[in-house]
Amino acid sequence: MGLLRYTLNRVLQSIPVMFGIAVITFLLVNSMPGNPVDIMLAEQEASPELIAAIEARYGLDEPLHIQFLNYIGLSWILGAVGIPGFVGSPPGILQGDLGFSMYYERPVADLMLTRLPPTLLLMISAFAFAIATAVPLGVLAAKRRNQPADHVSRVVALIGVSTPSFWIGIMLIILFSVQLGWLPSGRLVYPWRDPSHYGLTSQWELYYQTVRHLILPMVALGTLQMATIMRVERSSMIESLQKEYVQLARAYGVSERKIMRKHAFRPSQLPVVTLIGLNLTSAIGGAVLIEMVFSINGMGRLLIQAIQTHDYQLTIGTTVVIGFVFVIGVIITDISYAYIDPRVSYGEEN
Amino acid sequence: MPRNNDSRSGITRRQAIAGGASVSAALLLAGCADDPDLADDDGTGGSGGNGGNGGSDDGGVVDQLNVTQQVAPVEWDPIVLNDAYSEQIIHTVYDGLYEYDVQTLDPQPKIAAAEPEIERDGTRFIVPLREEPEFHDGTPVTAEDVVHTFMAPIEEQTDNMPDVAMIESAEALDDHTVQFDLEFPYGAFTEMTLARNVVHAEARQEDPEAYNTENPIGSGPYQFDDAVIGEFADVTLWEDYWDEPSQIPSIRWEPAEDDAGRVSRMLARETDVMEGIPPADWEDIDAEDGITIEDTPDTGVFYLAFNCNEGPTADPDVRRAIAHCHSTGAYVDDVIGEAGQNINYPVAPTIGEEWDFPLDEWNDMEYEFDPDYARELLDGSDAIEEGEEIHFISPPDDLRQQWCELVADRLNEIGYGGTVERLDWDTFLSTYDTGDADDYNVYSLGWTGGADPDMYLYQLFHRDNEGVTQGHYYDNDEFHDKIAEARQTVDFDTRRQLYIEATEEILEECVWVPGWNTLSAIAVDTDRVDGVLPDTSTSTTPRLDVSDARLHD
Repeated sequence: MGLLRYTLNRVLQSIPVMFGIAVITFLLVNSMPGNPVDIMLAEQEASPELIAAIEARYGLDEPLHIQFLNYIGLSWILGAVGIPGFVGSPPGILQGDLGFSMYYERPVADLMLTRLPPTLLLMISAFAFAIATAVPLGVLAAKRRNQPADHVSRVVALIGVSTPSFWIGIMLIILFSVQLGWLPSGRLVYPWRDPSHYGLTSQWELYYQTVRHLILPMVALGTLQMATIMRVERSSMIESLQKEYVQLARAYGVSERKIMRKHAFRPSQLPVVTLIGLNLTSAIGGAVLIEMVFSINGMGRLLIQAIQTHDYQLTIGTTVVIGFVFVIGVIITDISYAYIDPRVSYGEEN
Repeated sequence: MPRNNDSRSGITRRQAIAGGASVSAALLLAGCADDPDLADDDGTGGSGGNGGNGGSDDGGVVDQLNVTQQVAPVEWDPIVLNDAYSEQIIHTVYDGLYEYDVQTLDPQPKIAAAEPEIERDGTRFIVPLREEPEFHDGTPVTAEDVVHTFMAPIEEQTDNMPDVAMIESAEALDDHTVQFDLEFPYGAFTEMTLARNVVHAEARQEDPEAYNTENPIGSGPYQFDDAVIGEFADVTLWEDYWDEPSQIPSIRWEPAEDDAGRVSRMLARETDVMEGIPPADWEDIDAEDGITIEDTPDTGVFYLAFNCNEGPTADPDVRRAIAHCHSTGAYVDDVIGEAGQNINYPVAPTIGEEWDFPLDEWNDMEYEFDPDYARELLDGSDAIEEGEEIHFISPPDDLRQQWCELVADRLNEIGYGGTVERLDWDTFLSTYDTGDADDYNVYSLGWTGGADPDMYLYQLFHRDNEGVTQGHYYDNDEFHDKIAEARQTVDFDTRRQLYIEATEEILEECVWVPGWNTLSAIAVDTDRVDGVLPDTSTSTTPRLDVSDARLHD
């Protein structure tokens, strides 16, 4: 099976997963106690007619199963083939419409298009930081096992794993923003925006400010990832260095540098890549808190707001998109296996 | 030449190391280096790179005031917007028909030329308009715009419909006179209803969605410039403003929902004004050189309300005992501190003073801490047995939860019991107004009223609002009649007397234990800005459309 076919297969397999995510999220969101109209009206003295009008505006007056069919887009399809009762139904997820936010009074897709780039910028930079620091430190710790460098890396990893990222964020703000005044305490400067928006005069100034504003949230979010990757990298490298082929290479007089680079490092990356692939998507949970602490206008804050306001369609939309990112992350991880380890096939029989 | 698999990317090891070193150096420089082109280190030289004033070197717009909000605004059309944080911005873009006096909450004519003429026993209000006001596109503000402003929430059934639901019709008598006919005489019509932002009827009707999300056009001192929901909103001074202009060229609002993040932003001088000061951080912020906290009493009241419908708290003596078994005053002093003041009445102090209510007398009626008497009352009541627990519910707010816990602890100490349930907002809102003793005996809540006692007494005590905005279900026909009569009476003295009588009954029958009134407060970087003050209402805090507010040179 070739790479393309394998990828297509995985994408097709992800469709029922995505459907399952949509179903479960829809049911969970609708089973939450409370009523979105109550929250929307902020406890005003609203007449039953007004409440009914608002419920009708957002389709909340329909039975739950019809709401689900509407949301998924099956009602639209049934309407398109002329089934009575469904004609004129609004488009849903299957037609690429993620719905309409009750709280923001805007299409969910528009909101997510605004919020996704900052979250991606944060997460990619956090992982770049994590990988750039964890891999060398993990290799170093394995190479100098039970020596001071190894002890230091293990302590750093332990602290990183056991400290909540939001707390690291707050401590970084207190130290580097409030006390030292070196770095800004929050929000991001987006490199895709016009410099004049920030009162800057050149593109280079904009990039400079982007980096400055990114450092603290990047470190706060990336520390946990760095610690976990470093631990896996270290143990994986130690395991590789104890393999017989490495012993054999040493016996043949191959240099230690070459052994590390060619014989130990590459095979050790398989568990690391798996970890990065899975963490990249699950790290969005950490990004939610980091976005709150650093006032970053990303998906995390959007999701929190959606849940707090019982904005059903926005909650489901953000969850489905995060689920989609997770599925894509897993597929990319699987594909990257074969690139790293030629022993991995795409399902061909040996 | 032998093939080197390791260099398939075309990057040699040396290059990779050099690249890594460059990135590290860039990060280090970005973090630590001073940029000579940007602001100096004392925070006075420029506004922030991303909206802040830049304690060090953030770059930024020097003539822009940066305001940090505790919640992100969401929309810009006054016909549909229904949250205080959108209103904070939009009140600089729109002029109201009437606008509240900063200190007294007395409505003052703005687009209106004078007080309304009241006819037909308080069911007809005729409002004359000024001729000078213009919208930002140069169109004059006319009576048709005012009519649309008040009728659109009803016709479109927006969230704001309850605010204007008593209007039967609105009519433009000529270009500068509007007549409102009401379904019933509404005593608070001038105070509560007429102070609405006037919208550009034609522009709004042309494209309501764009008007709400991209292009709101008002007649206020600032023009809407640009915004990304959840990130920022910019307004710039309108040079042709018809009234006295503001002195601040432009304003940027940015939200910071997390308390710690917001306070850090203020302490790091990355913003000029911050609203939403957490009580726990009050002293730290106030102690900071160059930062001042400006405050004024707001229109909020926090309280404990009893379930008078069912269960042990249906007995007034049990309610009195619960009030006697703890000291609300001591709790407010210890926990709320400078962020609020203890009150023993169900209206905001500003309203009480404006209406000349006997506030001191009411404060003297506070149930004193007397655990022995509380125990005596409980022992004498048939509605509660020794050891029986009172069920408190609290919204997800530490201050209100702690208050409930304090009272529950005191009940435990005198041989009875209390359990406190902290509910998330959605659950709380669907629970506290059921009147069912299985759901609660006591609930803790707060209320942001308005410029008229009707916003407190009618909304929080009248039986019309049972299950809507009140869950105590206190039942006394005479009491409800007084509140209804006050609502539908135009004569001030009659209304005042009715509200006094109703309030005294609330205190005597212990329907509520009033707790505290919070302060509307802002932290201001005085190195950057002067004259910015809070308003009594969160919706119009800070006041930036006043001529005293100015940035330092």
